[in-house]
Amino acid sequence: MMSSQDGDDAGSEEKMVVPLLSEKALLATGIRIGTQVRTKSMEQFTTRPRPDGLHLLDYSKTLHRIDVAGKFISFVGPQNVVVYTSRDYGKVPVEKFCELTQAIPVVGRFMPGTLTNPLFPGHLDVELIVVADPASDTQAIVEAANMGTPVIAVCDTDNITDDVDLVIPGNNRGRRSLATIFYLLARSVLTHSSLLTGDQQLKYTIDDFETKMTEADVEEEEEERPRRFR
Amino acid sequence: MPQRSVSLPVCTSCNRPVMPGEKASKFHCPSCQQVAVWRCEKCRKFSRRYKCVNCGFEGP
Ligand SMILES: [Zn+2]
Ligand SMILES: [Zn+2]
Repeated sequence: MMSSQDGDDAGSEEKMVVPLLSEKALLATGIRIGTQVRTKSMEQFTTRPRPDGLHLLDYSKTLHRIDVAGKFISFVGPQNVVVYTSRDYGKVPVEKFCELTQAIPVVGRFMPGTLTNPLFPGHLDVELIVVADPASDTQAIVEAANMGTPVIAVCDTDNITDDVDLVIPGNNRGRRSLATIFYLLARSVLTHSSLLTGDQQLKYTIDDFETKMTEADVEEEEEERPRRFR
Repeated sequence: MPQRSVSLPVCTSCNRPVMPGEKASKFHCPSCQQVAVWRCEKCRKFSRRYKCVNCGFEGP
């Protein structure tokens, strides 16, 4: 069976999504590969499931939402935006994104009070948060909900989108895919901020956005995978 | 007692007034940035659809 780390071999080699990234290369990152589960709120972002039961995301909707999210972040001002991931493989994508856009990265454990307690030394007073996966980034979403802070979330086919204000549909369990989503989102933010033109390239490639893992990390990831089939 | 009226913002999804202190979210439409979108606590919690009156963008 195909897993979230696999890409797919569909798409055109000639059709470019952004400079140096063809539609075929985009799909090969696994960006549209979902899970065996599809929640009601994610139904609108999916196409018909594959014969093996795996749900696929409509990647044209992914690209549209990345464009909208980039506009949103640019409008609010990236310096007023926290980008959070609890997962190891989200670390590099989030950090690279924040380095390029000046948004505020938070990785690892989300310390309680980060958004809600002004007395907490690590308190952040922000206008928008972006999370890589609502299923694992719950503390950040709960605090944003309490504060009325808008939330953008990358959501896979099995995610519940409660308290999310803007969904970016995409495979958030694959390292390559998550790197691609944050790479494209960085492009979108910089383009909408007039800091990048459509034909310019980013300082970093998708490869640079990807968390590189050791063999032990990969084994750990394999062990964690069955939770996708709840 | 003098009558005082307070105009409360209205939830973009359910059209009910958003009460002060409610865990609602407010932001400019992510797509056109022209109008404010309000989402009341319940609509946010239940992931109810909102639609921008200006550009027609539908979220979340
Ligand atoms: Zn409502
Ligand atoms: Zn709008």
